[in-house]
Amino acid sequence: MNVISLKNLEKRFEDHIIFKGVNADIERGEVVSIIGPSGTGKSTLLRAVNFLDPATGGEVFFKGVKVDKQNIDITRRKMGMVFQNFGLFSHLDVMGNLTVGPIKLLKKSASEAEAAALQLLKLVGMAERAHHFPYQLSGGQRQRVAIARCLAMQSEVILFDEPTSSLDPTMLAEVMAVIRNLAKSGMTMLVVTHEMEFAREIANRVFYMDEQSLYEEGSPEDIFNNPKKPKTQEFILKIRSFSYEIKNRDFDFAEMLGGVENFCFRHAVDKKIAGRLQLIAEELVVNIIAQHYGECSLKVSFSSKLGNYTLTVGYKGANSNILEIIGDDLPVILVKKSAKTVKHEYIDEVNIITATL
Amino acid sequence: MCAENRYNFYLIKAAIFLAVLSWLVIPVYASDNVSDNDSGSQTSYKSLYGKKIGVLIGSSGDDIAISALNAEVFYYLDILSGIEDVRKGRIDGFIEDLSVARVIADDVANRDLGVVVIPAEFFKAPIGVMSLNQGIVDRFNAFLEIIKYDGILLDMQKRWFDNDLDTPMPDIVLTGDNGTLRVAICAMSMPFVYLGANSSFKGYSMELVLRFAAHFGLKVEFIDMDFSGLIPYIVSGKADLAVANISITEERKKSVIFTEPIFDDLAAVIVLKKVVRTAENDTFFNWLKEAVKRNLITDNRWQIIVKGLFVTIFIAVSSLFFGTIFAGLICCLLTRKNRYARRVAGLYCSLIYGTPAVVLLMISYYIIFDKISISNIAVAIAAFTMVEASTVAQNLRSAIETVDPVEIEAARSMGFTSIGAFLAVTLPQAVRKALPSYAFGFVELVKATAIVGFIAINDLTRASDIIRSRTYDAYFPILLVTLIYLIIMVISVWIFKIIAGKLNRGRAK
Repeated sequence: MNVISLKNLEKRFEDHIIFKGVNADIERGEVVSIIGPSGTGKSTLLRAVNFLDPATGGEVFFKGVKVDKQNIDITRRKMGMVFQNFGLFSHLDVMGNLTVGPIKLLKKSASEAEAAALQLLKLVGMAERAHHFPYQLSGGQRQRVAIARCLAMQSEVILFDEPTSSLDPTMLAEVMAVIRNLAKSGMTMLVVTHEMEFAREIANRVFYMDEQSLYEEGSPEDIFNNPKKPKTQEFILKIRSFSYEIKNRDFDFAEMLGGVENFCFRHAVDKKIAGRLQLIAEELVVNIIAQHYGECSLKVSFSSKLGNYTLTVGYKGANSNILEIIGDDLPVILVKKSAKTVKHEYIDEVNIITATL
Repeated sequence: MCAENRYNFYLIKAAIFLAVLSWLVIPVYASDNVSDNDSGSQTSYKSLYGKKIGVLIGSSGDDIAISALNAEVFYYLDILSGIEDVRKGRIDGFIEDLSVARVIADDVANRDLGVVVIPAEFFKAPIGVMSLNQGIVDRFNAFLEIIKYDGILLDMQKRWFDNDLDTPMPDIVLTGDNGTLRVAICAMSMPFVYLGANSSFKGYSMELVLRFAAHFGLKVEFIDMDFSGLIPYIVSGKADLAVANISITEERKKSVIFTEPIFDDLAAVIVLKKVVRTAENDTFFNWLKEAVKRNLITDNRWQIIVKGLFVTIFIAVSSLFFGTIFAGLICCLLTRKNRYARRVAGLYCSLIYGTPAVVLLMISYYIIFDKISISNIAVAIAAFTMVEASTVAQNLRSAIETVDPVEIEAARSMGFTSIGAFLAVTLPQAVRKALPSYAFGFVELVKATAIVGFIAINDLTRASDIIRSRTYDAYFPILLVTLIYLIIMVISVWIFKIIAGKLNRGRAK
């Protein structure tokens, strides 16, 4: 049975469309990862599902019943949400955070709610801190409490809105472990995340959002190993890249080289490879192409799937491979020695030299 | 936040300690300065010619000082500060009505003061009774003729103006049932109207009014207030007669009707006679003992302070209570999405915020509640409720705005309705955040109520004014009420601190 069905869902702010035509059926026990570039409406979709930001068109069904403003407060009890910024109630301790909903909304007795809360805190490893206040906890601990709070409401579905995005890298693991266990236990979940490995590992199904819609969906295998559509391929294969436009011969080459170095540093590129990338960028761009053509563009990218680095330089002009024209000058030798392969293409009146490592 | 609070409380304690210490030291120090000053006794007004003379603002004293003495004039807000400056030698004399000057000079505390009479050729002040009702004035004038004729008036003048203030008030029994005469009085006008033993009113004008009432078979209801309140009271029809030492002037005649003069007063200058000072008077504790005896024990004057204290606390606590409820409603409007609701509430807040409390009190008394017969205290509570509501509402609104919107979303996403989320998450946090300013707002409120004397309520501040005007002690009554206000503040801050402590567990940041 479908727990959540989205029918032609649409969200727009005045004339600006965030997404439209989103159709999806989520069955009980399914774990759906929602991925995609920033600003493609992943979080907005989640918030439209539980009416925090109601959709401007289309319908949401929860267990076959159409959700509207009248029944949303009741529906939300079964549909928990975990926020990027935790949203723990700062005036209540951990126990209070877990019991306020069950006591006030589900009309449970205090002792019953507390006993249930304690069980859940054990599940997320926070039983020891039942009487700590949110400000006394680390980010990871707060997020685990927030998850337990959803469970305390006996939610049937949990919506995760970037649950690890505001966490320190050192705290990622503890929160992921909790979510992973939850996924294994058969909880129905929608998870918006930027952690690709995590998205792949926990999900039965992956939604890729782009182009103002649900662009491509499939099993983790489909999306991560064999993306069908171009945008998905771009996103999955070349997530990380650095581009730089050179306008004339006197450009700020130190800034460009700094950019390359920064890119390598941010993505923890192996030191040896980072050194070679910088060498190629310096020789190819600074000493060869910028000298002859002035205007050109540089793109350094890393494909996580193929595990290789490519450095591409594009320059306008007649079809000519500058490396061959110059011949065996020192910069050219350095470039060819540093790269695994160097090839020249001529597409749409643009010469493209691609160096692969 | 907790730590910061504690810090504030310590700071306040220290400030109180310093304040009390310094105020207690000033009078002792100041009175030490006096002993060196000996300007001798001055018998003729001519010896004051061209000297520095103090006068009361708004009195005719400055005309007299210039026409009779060609003096350099200094203006004062009240007699007591003028007298203190005479003592300190800053001015050479202070002009007052002869009747008042005599009373002051006769007081045991003022043995160092003398009175120099200004001859009647320069100044004569006919004292009258004010009303707005020609019928009452006619009857009063007729009555005045009668007692002038049979000598009662002369006898009264001898009793009240030639003796000291302990002159007994004759028993005048009112048996009539021809209606009630509402009489506005300012019981700080010795020897015309003032407070005797056990807070009862006595004096020359008092006796005159009672005799008048007895003559015509009327009952009398007295309303005591500041001198400045008398004319508005008569003009607005809240009283039939006003008595005190009111000079008949052309200016006043424009708004009220005067009776024939009940007494012809002269002007006099209060001067420093000679230092009367004994060694035993020099210590602080003697000063204190003497002051307590004169200001509190004599005539059971402490009762005035105690009554005033209860009135002040009653007004402040009631205003806080109703103000808080009202503030909740205003805050409700202030946080509406509806722009007009917000504007109306915002306009109310800025209107109240921009109006001085005393003006608001006057407006409530003379305009809003003019035709409705409720007690003056209820009017004061209504006015301060309006003030308190605007500040508490603003305070609560900004506290509500500090609550993290994610927490409210989290509550909504659990299934709380918007009202449910407000009650479970927003309000508890906002109350915690608003509490410190709420506590200090209450302290401000207590202090602000000091102006209710304007509408004839005898609160704590006015109690001190009444005692001061009776004993001519410049320091002690003020010091005493200051101390009481400080104690009220410390106690209320302490109570709020306990409440805050109970609520404040687990505040982030």
